[in-house]
Amino acid sequence: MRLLPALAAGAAAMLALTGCANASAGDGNTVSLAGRTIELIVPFAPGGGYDSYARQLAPKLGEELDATVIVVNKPGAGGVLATNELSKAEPDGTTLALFNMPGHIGSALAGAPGVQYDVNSFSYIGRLSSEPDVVLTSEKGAIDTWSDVMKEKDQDPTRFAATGPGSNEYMDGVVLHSLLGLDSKVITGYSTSNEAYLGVLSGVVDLHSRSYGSQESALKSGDAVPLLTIGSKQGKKLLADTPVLADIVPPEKAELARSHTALVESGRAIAGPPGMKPEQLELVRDAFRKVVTDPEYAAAAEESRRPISFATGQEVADNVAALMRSPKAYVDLLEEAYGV
Amino acid sequence: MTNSVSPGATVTGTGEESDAAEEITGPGAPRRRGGARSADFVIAVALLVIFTAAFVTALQWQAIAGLFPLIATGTGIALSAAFAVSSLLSRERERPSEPGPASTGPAAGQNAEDAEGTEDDQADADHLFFASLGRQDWTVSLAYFAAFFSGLYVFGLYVASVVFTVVYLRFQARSSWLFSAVYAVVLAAAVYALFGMALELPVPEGLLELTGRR
Amino acid sequence: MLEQLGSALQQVVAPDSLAMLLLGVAIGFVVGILPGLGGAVTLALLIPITFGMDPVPAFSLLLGMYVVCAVAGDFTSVLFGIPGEASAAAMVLDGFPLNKKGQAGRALGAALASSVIGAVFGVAVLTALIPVLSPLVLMIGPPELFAIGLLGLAFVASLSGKNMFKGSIMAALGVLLSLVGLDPNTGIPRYTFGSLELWEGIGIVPVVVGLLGGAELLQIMLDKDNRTRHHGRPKVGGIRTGVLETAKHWFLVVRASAIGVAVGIVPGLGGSMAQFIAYGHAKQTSKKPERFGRGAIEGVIASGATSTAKDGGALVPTIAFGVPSSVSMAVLLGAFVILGLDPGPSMLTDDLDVTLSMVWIVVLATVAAAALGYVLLRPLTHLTRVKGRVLVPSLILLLTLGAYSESNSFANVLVMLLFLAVGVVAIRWDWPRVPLLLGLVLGAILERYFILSHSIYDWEWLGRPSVIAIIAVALLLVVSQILRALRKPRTAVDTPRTKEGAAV
Repeated sequence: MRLLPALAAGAAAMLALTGCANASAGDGNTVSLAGRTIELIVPFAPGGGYDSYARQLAPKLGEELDATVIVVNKPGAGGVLATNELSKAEPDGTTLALFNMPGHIGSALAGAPGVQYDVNSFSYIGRLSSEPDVVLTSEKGAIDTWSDVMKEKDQDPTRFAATGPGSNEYMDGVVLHSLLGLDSKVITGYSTSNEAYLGVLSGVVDLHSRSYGSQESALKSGDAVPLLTIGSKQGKKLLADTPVLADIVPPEKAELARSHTALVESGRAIAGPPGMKPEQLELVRDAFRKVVTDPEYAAAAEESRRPISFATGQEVADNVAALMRSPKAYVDLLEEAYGV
Repeated sequence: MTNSVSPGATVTGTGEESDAAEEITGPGAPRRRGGARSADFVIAVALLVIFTAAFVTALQWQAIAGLFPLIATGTGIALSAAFAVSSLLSRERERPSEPGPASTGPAAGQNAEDAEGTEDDQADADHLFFASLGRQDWTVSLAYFAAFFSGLYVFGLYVASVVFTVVYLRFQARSSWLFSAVYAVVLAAAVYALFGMALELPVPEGLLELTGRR
Repeated sequence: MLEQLGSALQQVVAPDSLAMLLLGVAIGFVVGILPGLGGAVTLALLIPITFGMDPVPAFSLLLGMYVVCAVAGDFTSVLFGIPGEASAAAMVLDGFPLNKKGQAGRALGAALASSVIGAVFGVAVLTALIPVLSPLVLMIGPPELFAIGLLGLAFVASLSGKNMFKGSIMAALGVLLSLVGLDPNTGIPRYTFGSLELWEGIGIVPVVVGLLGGAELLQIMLDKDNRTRHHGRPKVGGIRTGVLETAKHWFLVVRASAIGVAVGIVPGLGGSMAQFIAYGHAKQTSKKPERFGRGAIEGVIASGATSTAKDGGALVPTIAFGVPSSVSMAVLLGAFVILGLDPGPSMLTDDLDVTLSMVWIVVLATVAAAALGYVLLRPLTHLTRVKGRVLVPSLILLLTLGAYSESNSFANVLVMLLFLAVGVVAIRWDWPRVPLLLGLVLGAILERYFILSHSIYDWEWLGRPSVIAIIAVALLLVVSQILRALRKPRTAVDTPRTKEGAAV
């Protein structure tokens, strides 16, 4: 029976190797990230906007910091899992994440289960993009404009297609229902947003709401018709004829519409763990700003349909703080949207 | 390892394809159908408990979330309960005359018309293979297994893999130290080349966060 | 269109495209070996490389890599008993037993041949359907999808081996496992035991890897005398036999490919379902169903054909609507956007040449992969002569990385270990494992489309002719299975176990 000696030898060897590896690890006092490997966490599976944004950014950010930036997908719990993890990570600049800000702030505002972080505590590096949400319908359906949606009050409820509670598309459905007094309901259970869109296309469900970028192809192809914009439609020719949510809500709901628009437009932002050293935070923020404000980078991003809309880390942090002070009525709406 | 649990088993094959399966059913293997029946009963009861617990949990959910779990677990409860009862009954029936070992040998009843009949025992061989093992076989293998995965959890992939490879090859596969060491290094290097360099994908880094990265 | 097919081919064989295609094939072969790393993850990694490329070379790289993963995955499945891809699980069921008998060459020969035919069939269907793509996909709504899910469940019986009772219980367990995670309709966590890791549900990759591959690894570790392996000279030369057998079973190849394409076309079903239906179908229509799970060449052929045919089908909704039917297709869709293509009607008019070039890419990449596989076959099958235990350190890494890589989560390694234990218990006490996988794959589909149908149509959807027709077929299947089982002499206690199908 040589099991025990073998296992003991193994354990000893593991400890010895550990010692070697630790000796070679960099010390934690330097601010510079030169030569280090930085993980850029994407809280979603490969494929889709977040992943492409991150993979486009990673090599350039690495160049700027003289480091290697690798993209790591950590899907789970709609992004909450990765966010929780980041909130506990070592704030040494080697771990960053790309957040879906509406979900990130929304789940914290609504007090969604699983949230273990303080939204205000993160070290925000900067905003990468910001897009309006667009409500669309099938080109073949009975609805042609948003006023058709508003008029159809005596018929069956208008139906929004969505994956499930807590998703941006579900939030929009709940908010529009309340702010505009729509006779509507949200049909949940689609496995992906794309499948929900297919439901609209086949005429089974009436409306679907999602970020402009993810719908641009559908709108361009003519299969889908835009009806309403939540946010700014500036520079988006396809949305020229659509009304904007903030303009059509009754006056008493204007504040709620502003809150919701601000949440939608919080977009995608990069953040580090809470407690990064101020000098290092500045270093990363600066590198990020240089990369995404470079005209060449912006043009390439525009070309690949991942347009940049930069805001500084400080602006992101301020915006987060402002949103966290949203009126009670809006928080109630979000709680409904999260099924809390 | 010096003890063999099935002492009747001859060690090397002779080239006859059915031998492998027959060796496994050598004396000492706990392979009687009566034993299998009571195991079936135990497994069915265990699943019944799981399904019931899941059913009770689902009762607390609102209709749209609970409906499908109730249907699925309800079906599970019905099936596993019925199976538990039937395996209990058939065990009672069997008790008076337990079948002899000869009749359970998979080679028995081979059919000449099936050209590949002698080769078709593999799945049964799997089943009987696990049945033929004794406590020590399990202890040793599971200890190595557990050691690798706890090593993985604490020390990360590279350390766990190198150490496991050397120790396992040396002591279990009886390879030479040199072969074991070269194998370990080549394996780790291959993983590093693919994950660390080519794909830049993370590997389990363990509690101590040893990734080979700086 | 013939003319355009020709010009599409010219674009694909242009030097830069062809170079990309071969690069894709090479990459696909390496990553396809590892479960979990195949499709989506590697596609995402390759997309940045395609920035600034023209569409045809870019798709040569991406699509070429992707379709080859399925072929390479078959190697892992046959040689090590570990599924190389989640959609190559069925390949393990008969491919690995054949290997253990020393017939790895025969199994891989059949796998390669059927994969090529499946791929060609898949894209042929895609090409033929181009004019009617859109209405076809739109015809299938949630009620039909629910009915198709039920049809899939009807195959539990034929996948259960000799004990349908045990099989049904395992399927129910699989369905229960599919419910773990956030409820899509209310957002409440179900059966997650307070663990956020479980919110997205139990992934198919760690389950497949643990349940099928883990048990094999443990068996090799426990097997100190190489007792479970074939002794004597392995028949590597069986490659040709395998290819010829595929030709002999040409009609099965066609049917399995058709199943693969049909399941692939429908967004929401996913490729892992197709293999089990095709495998179950092959077993059901076989003259010797009892050989399945022990090295039936038909099982290998059906799995091989489905694994590549489904990709042709999956391209349909991606191209026609920009609605991907799998995660990998979602990543590929990202490439469309980056390359400035708009999935939708324009892919069938203005950009028809790109669409047709994809057809050629799939065909050429599969053929190239098969050729490469053929060359590598002989050296690789020598691996099966190596003493089992020497392989253990490599296999344990394969399992670990396979479970870990899909979502970079250690929790998935634990899930893999849990199902490894389930797999060993199931083998030891002769409970079939595949119905559990089928339940896991189908459970979410059944619930999703049941609730969706109900919230859209109330109950009237149950009266749709299409739904009734599909459910009738499912019932027919179940009844025929039960009748078949009853007609056979009842499995007495001491009936030789070789007479009925093995638990797979």
